[in-house]
Amino acid sequence: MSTGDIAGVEHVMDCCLPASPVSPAAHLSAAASSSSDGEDRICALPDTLLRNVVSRLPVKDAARTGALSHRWRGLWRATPLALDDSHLLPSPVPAAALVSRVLASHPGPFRAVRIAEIPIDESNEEALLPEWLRHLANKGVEELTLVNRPYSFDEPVQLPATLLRCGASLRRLYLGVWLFPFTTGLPRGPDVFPHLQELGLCHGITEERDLDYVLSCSPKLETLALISNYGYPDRVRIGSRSLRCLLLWHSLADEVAAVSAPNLQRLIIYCTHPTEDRPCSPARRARQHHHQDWGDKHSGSKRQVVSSEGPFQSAQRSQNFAVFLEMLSWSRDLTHHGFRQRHRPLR
Amino acid sequence: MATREAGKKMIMLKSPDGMEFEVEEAVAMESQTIRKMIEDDCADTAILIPNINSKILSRVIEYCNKHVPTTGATGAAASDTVAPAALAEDLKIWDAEFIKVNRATRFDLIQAASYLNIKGLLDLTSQTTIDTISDNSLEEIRSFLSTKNDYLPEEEQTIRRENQWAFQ
Repeated sequence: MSTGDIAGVEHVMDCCLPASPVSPAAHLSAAASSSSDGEDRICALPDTLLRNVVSRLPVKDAARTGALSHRWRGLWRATPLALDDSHLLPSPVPAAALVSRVLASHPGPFRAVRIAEIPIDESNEEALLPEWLRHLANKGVEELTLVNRPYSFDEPVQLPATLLRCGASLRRLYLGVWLFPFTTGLPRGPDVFPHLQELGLCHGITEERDLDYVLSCSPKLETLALISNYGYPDRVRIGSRSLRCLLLWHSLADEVAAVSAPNLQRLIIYCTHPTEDRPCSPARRARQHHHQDWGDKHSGSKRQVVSSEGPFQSAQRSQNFAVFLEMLSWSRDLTHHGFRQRHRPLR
Repeated sequence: MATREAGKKMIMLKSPDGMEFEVEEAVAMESQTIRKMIEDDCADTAILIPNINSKILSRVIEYCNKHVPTTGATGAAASDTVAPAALAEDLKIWDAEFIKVNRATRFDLIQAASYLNIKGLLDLTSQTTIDTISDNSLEEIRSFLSTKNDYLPEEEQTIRRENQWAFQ
């Protein structure tokens, strides 16, 4: 990929991924500066309120509170973990090793884990992915954002099928720049992703059969976002009784069909044509169409289709993103919509 | 129950130091605790809010007034003309000003937010508290929080070793 392509993908990813589960540092620091008066009575608060405070700290700060006193050690271990790997940087130790240590040292549960700064390729996938996924599954991760960097489309690493073991606890899952695990032959059923409500597949490769598998195993899935996927899956055929919002953004697909989606309320197809830097073949362009079949009789709820044609011109970009984010916020928890600030350069 | 404007139900909130605050029902219902009382029909005349003095209660009401959905609080359909993102940004700026209080007041606000179950206010006060903890040494944090180190020296060393990644 050219540098321009990568920058474009990075921009898209930064906009679509859920925001960090914790604010990196004192974004209200202006407030603190005015309150340098006397001692803090924070320690007089009950444990539940202090856990609420600890849960907002970047993971290093949270773990360090465990060394304050016996009481605080109990608080840190009893506070569900929120890890954002960007908060571990910069570090004298490789970030991947730090992530392994954090996941191993906290007893769980894991409220939210975001790993999006660590390049994984054939040299380290065996050492990292199985161990991470084992901890994530055993310790009940509820929200997981797992993105491989740097963004490339050459040889995406395949996630092991143990990812699906995390399904028992997951409520929100965003995967970026991966080859989805092979699901052929795996047992299907509502107990694979019993709580999953939101799934985002970004800039990766997901075969139609694997998407079909996830849909059939996710009885509570409400939002599916396919972002920056170039023809994988090539056909998006929705069979889901729970799905309410389907989003295709910067994604190519030969066919989009709601074959059985009685609760689908919003179908957003946006910027689906390739950028000028990455033209698709004329044959593919000719075949591309969007087929909207609403399936069952709908229950009177409002349904909306938003689509945008034409190449994604940079002049339109800011306006398009704003419109897009507004759309997305209709269907997503408002706590994580909007632009995420560009945090750190690639490492 | 008092009514100030047609269609707007008013609720009387009383602090333990004898002050009374008349607020719109929609504003009071920003507190899940009060909402439940109202929904359970326990709020016919006035609601006594124990443990929250009038100074703190008035700040809490100020917060709820600002955060109640716009159509309810002001009557103006602001959301029709102002983009949600702009409203959110406005609230964020307002919050940052609101929470410029001393530590004692912040402590009281956390407790009040917890008792009254106002999630946004609890989030705001807790988030502000982390400033005390972030990026400071353990000794500084202990001093800020008036926490006594009850570890034996060797215990503290063990804890630090276990989570060495956090001290690098």
